[in-house]
Amino acid sequence: MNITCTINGKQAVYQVSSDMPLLDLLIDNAHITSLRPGCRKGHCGSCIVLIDDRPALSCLVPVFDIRGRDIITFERFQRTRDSTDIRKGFEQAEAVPCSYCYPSKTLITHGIISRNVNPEPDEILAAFALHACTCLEPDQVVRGVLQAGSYRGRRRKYARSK
Amino acid sequence: MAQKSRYISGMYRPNMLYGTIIRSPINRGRITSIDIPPMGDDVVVVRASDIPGSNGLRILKETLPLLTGETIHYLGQPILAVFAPTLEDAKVHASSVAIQFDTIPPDMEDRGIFTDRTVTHGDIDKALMDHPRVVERSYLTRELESSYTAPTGALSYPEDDRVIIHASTQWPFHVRDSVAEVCGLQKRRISVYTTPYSPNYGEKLVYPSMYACLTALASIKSGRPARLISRFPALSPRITVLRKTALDESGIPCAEDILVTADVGAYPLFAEEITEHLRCGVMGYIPLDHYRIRVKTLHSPHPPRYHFDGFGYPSALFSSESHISEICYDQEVNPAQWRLNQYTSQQLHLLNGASMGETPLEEVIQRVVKESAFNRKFAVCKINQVQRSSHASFRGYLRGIGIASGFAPNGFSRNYPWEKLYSVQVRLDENNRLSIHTSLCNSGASYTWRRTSSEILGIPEENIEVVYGGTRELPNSGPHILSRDISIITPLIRRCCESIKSQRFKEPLPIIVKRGFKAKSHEPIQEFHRFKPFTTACWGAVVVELEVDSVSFMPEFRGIWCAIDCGRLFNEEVLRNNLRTKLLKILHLAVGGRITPDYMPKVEIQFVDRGSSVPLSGSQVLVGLFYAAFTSALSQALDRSITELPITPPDILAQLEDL
Amino acid sequence: MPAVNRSPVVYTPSTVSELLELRTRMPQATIWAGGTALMSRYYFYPYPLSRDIISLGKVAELSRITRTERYLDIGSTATIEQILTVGHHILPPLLARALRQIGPPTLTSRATIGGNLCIPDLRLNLSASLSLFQVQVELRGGKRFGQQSRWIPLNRLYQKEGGLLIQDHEVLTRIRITFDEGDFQQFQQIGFPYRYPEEAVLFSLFARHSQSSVSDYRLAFTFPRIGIFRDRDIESAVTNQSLPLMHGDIAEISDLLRRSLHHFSSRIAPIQYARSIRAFERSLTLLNTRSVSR
Repeated sequence: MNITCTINGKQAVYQVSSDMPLLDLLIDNAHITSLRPGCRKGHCGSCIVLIDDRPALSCLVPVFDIRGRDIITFERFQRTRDSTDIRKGFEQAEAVPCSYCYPSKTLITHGIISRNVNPEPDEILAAFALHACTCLEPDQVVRGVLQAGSYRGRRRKYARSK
Repeated sequence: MAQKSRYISGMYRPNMLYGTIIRSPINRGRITSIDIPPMGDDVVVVRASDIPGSNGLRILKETLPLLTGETIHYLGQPILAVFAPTLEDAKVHASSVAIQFDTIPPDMEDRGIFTDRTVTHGDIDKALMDHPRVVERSYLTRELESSYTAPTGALSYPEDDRVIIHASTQWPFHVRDSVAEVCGLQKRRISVYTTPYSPNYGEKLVYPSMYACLTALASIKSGRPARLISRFPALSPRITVLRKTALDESGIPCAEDILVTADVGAYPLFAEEITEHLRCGVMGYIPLDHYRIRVKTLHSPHPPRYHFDGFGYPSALFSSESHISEICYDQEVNPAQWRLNQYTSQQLHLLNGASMGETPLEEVIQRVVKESAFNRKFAVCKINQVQRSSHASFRGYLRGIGIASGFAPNGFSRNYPWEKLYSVQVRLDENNRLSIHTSLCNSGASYTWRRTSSEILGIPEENIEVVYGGTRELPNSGPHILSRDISIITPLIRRCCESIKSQRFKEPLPIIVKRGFKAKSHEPIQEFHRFKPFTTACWGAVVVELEVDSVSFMPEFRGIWCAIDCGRLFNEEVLRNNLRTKLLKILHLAVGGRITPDYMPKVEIQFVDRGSSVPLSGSQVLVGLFYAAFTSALSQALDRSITELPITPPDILAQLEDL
Repeated sequence: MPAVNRSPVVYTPSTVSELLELRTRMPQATIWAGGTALMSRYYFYPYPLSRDIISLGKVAELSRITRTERYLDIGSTATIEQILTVGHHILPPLLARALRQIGPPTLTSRATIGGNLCIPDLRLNLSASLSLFQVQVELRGGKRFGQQSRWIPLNRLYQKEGGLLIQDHEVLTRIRITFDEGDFQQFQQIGFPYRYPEEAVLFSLFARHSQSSVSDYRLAFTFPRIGIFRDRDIESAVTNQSLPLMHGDIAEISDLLRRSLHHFSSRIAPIQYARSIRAFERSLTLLNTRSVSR
């Protein structure tokens, strides 16, 4: 099947089996390096990407479902100001994730603070409930996300005021 | 440096082939035929007959077959590998290969013994007969499976007259040597770079070499880069410890008979070292006149086992410490108080009489007892246990508290003959920049090494670099296991820096110093009595308090308190965070994976500082002590002897007889 | 692409009629809603026997949620996240909890209500919880079968042993929930229904009570690999009981549940059996506490 989609801002066409998981397409066909193929069953939360700016587990998305959609991986996202908010937030909270889960935790955080820059701790922990990497304690994750949200909020406010 | 942070799954070369392994679906048997249909020019099949060199990976004295020639020895044994331009193609082509087997019936399976070592002192049989009070228990650590970790794999490609390999390996020089032997290449023509493999359970010690050999063969055959990633389940050995302990009139052990059996799968990897670690781990801290320790490693038709956190030492320590608690429960004695009464001596001795010198054992016990309010909680749980017996158990609290204390070694035993082959190199250049060269450059201990060097030489940390490179550029520092990066490599770097310090301003720059491990002279193993098998020891104590949920039958951890002597502390917060992460991983294993990833009990970790200059790793001791404290707490909660791990809700239910 | 690997043809109907026509033409094709359950099977890909796929993603009608004074009408491809958002203030606590416990937003943004109800071999959070309310589901069949629409109570979607009772030409299109006011509602996920289904139990409870009596009591257990257990005798035994329940009353009703579970299926594992009994007893104790504190 021909799959036409936009990956990290570039439109591309791939000829692959229609039921192939997006994770495989990104790693083996698009040569994305930031993805961590963990359990491949939606249990470990290590393969997060943004589909139309919303975090999704790429192992649970078939490629036929991404036709015409916009996929952003950590490679591209880390060059954005949105990513800087999150990096600074976690650094400020002294809670930097390990290199294995850094991309996924960043994109999950983006998913949370895009909707609400001041989320409830329960909402944060629920969003991270699937994430198997235990490099940060829950309160570190909450502090990091809230701090990131605060940077994002300030930046948005500043942008609006201009 | 860009490559260093890239996991193997994220590595790609133009024109690369993707590989998949066809593995045996049976435990034991013979291959009668392999039918490979035509697959096209861009597909490469690697079979046993394609191997120009030796079809095996040498691990010390043992050899693990690379591809099955005829006889299958374990479930999942690699038979052949298929490489194609996409992984999807490779998998589909692999599914079209037809392999016929003759299964060897179960009664023909040989369940032999790889190693069998016994040390005896005194007359143990007579001692057990003479003492009327004997506590006998069997402790079992079942096969534990590592959870989702960074993938294991390798990427090989030809470059000029060399083969370049990137592998998620803990032992890059083993990858190099294996590829050289399998492919019939000279070692100097192979360069191996490590990719990140953390977080790991020790499962990347040997298999990356296997995948590297297969990718190198495919790469040589096709002239193209080849990558192979495999998710073969990583299981630890099944270890059983049977202990019979005779107690004297005051309830103190006076004789002990210990039988340890470890099922290490179809091929033993490090069988001698496993024996040594198990033997050390089962020795308690009360010298005995009569003892017998027998350690057997057994053969079975299972894949070669991995060694989570050391070669079985944590399982052995679990048995020792749980057994002490069982002895205390039998006598209705507070296990913390019992330990404090026995371990007050400044000079602690092992079961075999070997002196451990001055240890912080008493201090670490005191600390966790105080922080956890152990004595009060133990008494409350005890009262609750007594009162509960007349009621249905779900109406009472199924609550318990357990303690364990002891040490775990860092590094190989004194009997490991290869340690002296390993070295590190430090270079001070003309610009006053220091570079540290070790093949463990990916270990994560670089912060400690830079701080150590900076302190000795007074060079700012920003001018100190841990050089990332391949096996051609770096010295062979051995495998990254048993916390060698912290406790063995750091002292070597210290020695290099001290040597540079003495030569500095006298010799012209650059100054290059290389140091290797010098085994200290010691008593030969034949004289086991008073023999101390390890050079370094990390001491600790752990208290676990839990309650069994009366509906789900899940242990809910109310608190975990740890006190550890990690030697020199460079960054307490980072170390605490690492140990806490480790603890959560083993907690996950101990309950058979029946917790959600976000489960996070209260964990308190304290460090004991005795002014040591050398850092130690606390992860091994933490594992063994956690297992023991956990099962002791569960034993008290359920009022049953819990001596097996992992323990799941159905196991807990089976222990309760009220339904 | 290798000749041996057949890429499944994906059909993306945009209306229900198109969907039904495809369904009639290809009864063996896989109906694909969110696909989260399908893709998490280890054998999913590459699977040499892959069947063609009818994707429901573009059928706008199926993802609609309509709310009236009397009921909530949910299209079968509405995602769990969508239902939680739209139903934020109106969902009964039992349902809200059952929906939330399905997973984090990365999962619930794809998982659909229809998918949760229609996994062939696994019963998850929603089946039993919904069955405690007045829930009707709409099944629609293709032209050849008169393109009929039929509404059936949710429990008639399943066999006693948990299997699905949807015919080959039919598609689940809507779920209609009529809300009841219940002042004591519980949903408890005990164990891990997806990873360890043979150990897990899902406990759903809906009750109305005053300080002194229970006026309505509905209870269901889900055993993921076996099916849904609901017993009217037990419900009757609790309904109209005086509160607080005495220790003897609890023991008696509990015995009734034990016997009933034994009759229900021999496949219930001891751990599921014990968890069910204890969850039930704990809920009765909690009901007592609630009544006393009123």
